Amino acid sequence: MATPGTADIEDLIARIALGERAALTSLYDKTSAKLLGVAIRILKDRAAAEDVLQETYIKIWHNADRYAANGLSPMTWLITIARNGAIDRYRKKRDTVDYESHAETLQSADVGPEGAAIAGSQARRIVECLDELSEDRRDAIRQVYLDGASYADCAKSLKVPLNTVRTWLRRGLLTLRECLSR
Amino acid sequence: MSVADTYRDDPVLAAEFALGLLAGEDRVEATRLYVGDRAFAAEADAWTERFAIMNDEFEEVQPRKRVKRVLEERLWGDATGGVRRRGRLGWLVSGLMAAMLAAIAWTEISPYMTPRGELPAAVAELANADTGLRAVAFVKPDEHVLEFAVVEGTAPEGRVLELWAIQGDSAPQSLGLVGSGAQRVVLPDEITAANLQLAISEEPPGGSTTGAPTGEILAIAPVTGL
Repeated sequence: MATPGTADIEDLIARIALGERAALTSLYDKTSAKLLGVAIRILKDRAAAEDVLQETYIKIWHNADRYAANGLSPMTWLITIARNGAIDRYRKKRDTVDYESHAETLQSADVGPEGAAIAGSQARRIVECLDELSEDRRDAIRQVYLDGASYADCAKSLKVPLNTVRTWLRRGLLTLRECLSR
Repeated sequence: MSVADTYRDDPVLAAEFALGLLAGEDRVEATRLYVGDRAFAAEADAWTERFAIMNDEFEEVQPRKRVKRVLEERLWGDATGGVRRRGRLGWLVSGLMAAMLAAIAWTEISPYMTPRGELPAAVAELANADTGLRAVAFVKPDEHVLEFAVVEGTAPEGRVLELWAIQGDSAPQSLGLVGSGAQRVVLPDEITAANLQLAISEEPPGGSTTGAPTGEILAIAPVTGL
């Protein structure tokens, strides 16, 4: 699967917002392997991941008209919906709360084009800033992002108390934030 | 002290939220902020975009073929996008037409006849003279599917039609957007033909985003057993 262009995906999302089925089918053909990869990485279960994949496209179908309101690039938006869906599925087994669907579909408060521009311009800078972190913190953040680990998961895998891991990771995020604002 | 009380002084809450570190109530509260607070949403989006540089590390995995087919059924109840094999669609349309004829015949002659053959177990005729909309639905409980077609009328200009199932006193549950021609809708597991009403509402393009009907209900009818 060739990496689809941003303009391509944006165009498809706009057409989906108008209710064009063929646009969703085309988006599926271009992006489903990537989104399934995201869900499988987090859920480690193909059948559950394929179900999350379907739910992801159902959310995209119903929320495409809200896409323009957030500050995300199109592929990030799609991946984030899939990632949040997989994380919710994974945690539902343990947590008792019902997450609101807004998080899954990223129906944010209207961030508008300025927000989007800021998000885009700062994205690349993070590579340098992640490199400034200690290796174990950087690895932990990667594990959190790629495997969908929560603080509790990190505490378990690092065998340290929850509050310790929280403080330790938050310090890493603060360092990142300072680096990004330099 | 909850997230909502402290977030303005918390420089990394948006990052924690974007990463998915928060769980339970904290995640719910942060989600509320994300929906309602513009500054927080912008910051969370900025973090999401930054962390997205790791997206390259997610490896692509091709979904199995049937995943797409089931998705199309979940979304639209059939696959009129031209992706399904013609033979199968043809079968569906002819099956639906046969069922419609049977139903029309049934309403005309039901006092005199016992239905035979493969009639659906339950039927609904959604008709509203004021809105000019008329649709027919057949429920096949064994397969847990609903066959559905709008016979007369269309959505208002710039709007789309959405089909809803209302089970007893429960809130309406979307069965998806109404396309042209015959549709086959796989019913959610919890829906049964007993004490079921169907409704069609007019909605903005793409359908209701709230999970409930937002436009006018153009037609509603109970599903009755044959």
